[in-house]
Amino acid sequence: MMGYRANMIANWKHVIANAALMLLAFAGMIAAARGVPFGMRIVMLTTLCSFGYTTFVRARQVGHLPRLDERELAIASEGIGAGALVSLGLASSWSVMIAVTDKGIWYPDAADEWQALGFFLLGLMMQVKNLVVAMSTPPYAAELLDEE
Amino acid sequence: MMAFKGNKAAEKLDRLAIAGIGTNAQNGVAPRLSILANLLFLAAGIAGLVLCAQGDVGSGLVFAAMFAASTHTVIVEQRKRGNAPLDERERAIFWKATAIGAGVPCVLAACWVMLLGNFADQGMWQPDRPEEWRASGFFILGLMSQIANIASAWMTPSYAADLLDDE
Repeated sequence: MMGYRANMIANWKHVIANAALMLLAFAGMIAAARGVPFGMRIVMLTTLCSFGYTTFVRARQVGHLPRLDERELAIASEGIGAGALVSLGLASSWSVMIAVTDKGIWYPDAADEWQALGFFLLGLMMQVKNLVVAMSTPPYAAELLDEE
Repeated sequence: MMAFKGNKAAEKLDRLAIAGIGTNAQNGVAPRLSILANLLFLAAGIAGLVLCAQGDVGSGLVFAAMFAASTHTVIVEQRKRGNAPLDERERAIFWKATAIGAGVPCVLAACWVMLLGNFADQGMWQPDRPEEWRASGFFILGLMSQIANIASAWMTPSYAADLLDDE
């Protein structure tokens, strides 16, 4: 029972870490859109952290980067699918909204803003993917990974 | 009474159709037919975006390609299993196809906008007019549906399509 609770907390740690990265990326994107010089760097940093998180957490859990088994592959596909859907849905609906409304919706213009948007889309995909994987991994699987 | 010898021309056409698009073409769930149809929608979407970038026409074509791919998804799913929920294999194929279908346009779009940061001043195309923004939005949505449909059809084994036909 203690192991179960400990691993529930471990899963929630992953969720909280990725939610924090996501919030930071949103803040960086808003800063970049308002012309703050370090906004793009914040977004870039959160994206790199998300990619690093995916790689290093996986390596730390198992000790190396193995081939995924069938269950892990299904969870990873679900995570990447959900992450890319959110990111792409946001980008396309924003793009259509720019066209159909004339209320001065922000769109990227300067070089920093374009780069920030690119990093933001990639980062959002990875952050949602990590969130879904953390929430879909059952506690007993996390426990097995800890014991290996 | 003469024995029925069949219609040679019809038999040859049948064999040609099965060799080209596989079985189940008549009810629309043949994987090869699905791949061909979505490649066509993909080509229409790209042509529409290029036309839109060059002039005023084209955004309608992009929307039509997106709408056709989405409708194709709904019709094929409905023909395959009606209102039944996804089983484990179908669920795995659905998420794998979605991961490929949404992941590829997402990475392409992100790389494009990152490159625009450096090359927008050197003439790299970017959406500017409302028609272009609308076409870009529908294009990436359509690309997602088209690639997901192609991946899903690619991963559906022909024996599964045969089983669906037998049911």
